[in-house]
Amino acid sequence: MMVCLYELERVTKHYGKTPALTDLTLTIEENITALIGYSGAGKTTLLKMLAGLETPSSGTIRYNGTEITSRNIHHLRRDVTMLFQDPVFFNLSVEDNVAYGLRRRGVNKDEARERGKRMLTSLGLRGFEKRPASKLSGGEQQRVALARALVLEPKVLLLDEPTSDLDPTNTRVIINLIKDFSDKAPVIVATHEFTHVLELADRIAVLMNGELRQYDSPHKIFYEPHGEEVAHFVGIENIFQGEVVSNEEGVATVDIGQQTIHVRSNVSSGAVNVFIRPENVILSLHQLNSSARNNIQGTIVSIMQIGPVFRITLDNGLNAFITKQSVEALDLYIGKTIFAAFKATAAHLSIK
Amino acid sequence: MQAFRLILSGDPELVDITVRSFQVSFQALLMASIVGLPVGTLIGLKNFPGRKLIKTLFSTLIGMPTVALALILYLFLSKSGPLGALQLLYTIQGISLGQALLILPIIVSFSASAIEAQDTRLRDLARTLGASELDTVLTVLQESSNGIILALVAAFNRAFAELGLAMMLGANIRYLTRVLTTTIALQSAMGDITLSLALSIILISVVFTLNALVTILRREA
Repeated sequence: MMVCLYELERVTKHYGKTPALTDLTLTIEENITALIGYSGAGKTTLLKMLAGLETPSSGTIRYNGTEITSRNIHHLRRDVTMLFQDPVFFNLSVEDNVAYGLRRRGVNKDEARERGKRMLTSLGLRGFEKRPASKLSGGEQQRVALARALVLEPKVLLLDEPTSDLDPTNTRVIINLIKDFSDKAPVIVATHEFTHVLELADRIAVLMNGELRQYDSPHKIFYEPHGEEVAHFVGIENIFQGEVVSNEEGVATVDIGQQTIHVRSNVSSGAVNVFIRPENVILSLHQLNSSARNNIQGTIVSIMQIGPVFRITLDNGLNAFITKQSVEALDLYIGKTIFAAFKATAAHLSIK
Repeated sequence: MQAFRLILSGDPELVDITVRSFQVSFQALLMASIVGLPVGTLIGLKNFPGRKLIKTLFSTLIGMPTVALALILYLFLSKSGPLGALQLLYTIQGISLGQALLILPIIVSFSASAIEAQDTRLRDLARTLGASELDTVLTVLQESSNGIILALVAAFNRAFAELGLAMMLGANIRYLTRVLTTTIALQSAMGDITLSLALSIILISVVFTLNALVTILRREA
């Protein structure tokens, strides 16, 4: 039998009477696992338990097949290192902060400093050794914290929102470091930045209100979210409630009130939610004669720029993400009537 | 002016009294620290039932009037008292014991606060970097060292400058239990203003120096 990195069985954690995690059962074995969810969903609590910094109120956690107990928790802490969301530092120089873990493992001071120095250099922090760690900028602090963890060559690396509050350059540095490290040892990262999650994660756990809502590949999470809450969270803006009226050869027809939508699904009846990612919706001035099974007419009620793309909202509630060039080429304005097309495979359905 | 001359002349009695003052208060500091620092650490680190009550108790006891404590100890240490057999009354050990009890609440209370003031995430940080529980406690103590030194200095200051205990438990016996404060009180009553002034200057210098140190430490803490 294969031994999993972590196996959680019915893990529950309360702080006083406040539940932080409820009845969590999952196994973690991938190279990079991402935990996503709103703040307060229990991501940090879960990471802390995996790091041996918190113990479950009930349930069991096995690490490499061995149940974690107060007796062996120290071994877990030696194997696993966690990086906190806001790096904290001992009131010491950068080099002594980085050397701290090695010193606790009995490495002598000079060697610990030397190994720390090499790690700092590889993270672009050469010359920072003697500076007080608490006086560095946010990006530098995050890198020092990472150096302090990586110098220990942990068998598992846990990261709590490693790129929050970082500028794009520092974010990129951190993301690449995580990628590189994951070749050597598993990484579990809690984050809310989906683009990084998509890029990094082999598997994603979605936590909401302390419960595991979905545990899947990134593709499944973003294209086939379980339920409305997860869909909302991962940014699917088109959610329609409806009823499946028929199913022909794996394509369900869903009545959403004024219109019907065709969705690739085996569901043949009952109340459902239909999700369509706005970037999968094509807008056109005339009804398309194409392979797209859905063609919905609507009137534009809002045009909003979101970063590099525009969000076009129709009166029937459908949103589409399109580029500025498309907005100009189609001469879109509020009040204009247009057609929205999307494939039956671009829509996803979940039973209510 | 005469007072300064007396200090500069290194008058043997004056030196004797000053040295004894330091000796008594250092002994008190040592005794109080041995008990007070572990208690303060425990209160600062652990969350146990009754913790708040104990903390409040200790911070209330900081305000203990010296003469009141002296009276209680006097009754305990006097020949017919429960601790009379120790024969500590009218000895510098007796004064030290009294001062130790006086400053114990300062050490407990201040060191607990210093440890509490540390970011609790530092403990998690130490642990996740592989520190054992003992290492973690030592790291927190090291991080709180400014606050703990502050506690010790403030405690020493209180012991060094107090009069009630030294007077009632030591009785200002020449060459035996005379310390700075008791000598000042008694000699001025007897009219020896020069010696009193000289001793006061020493007392004030020590206390002010230590207070300045406390202020600097506070700023850095």
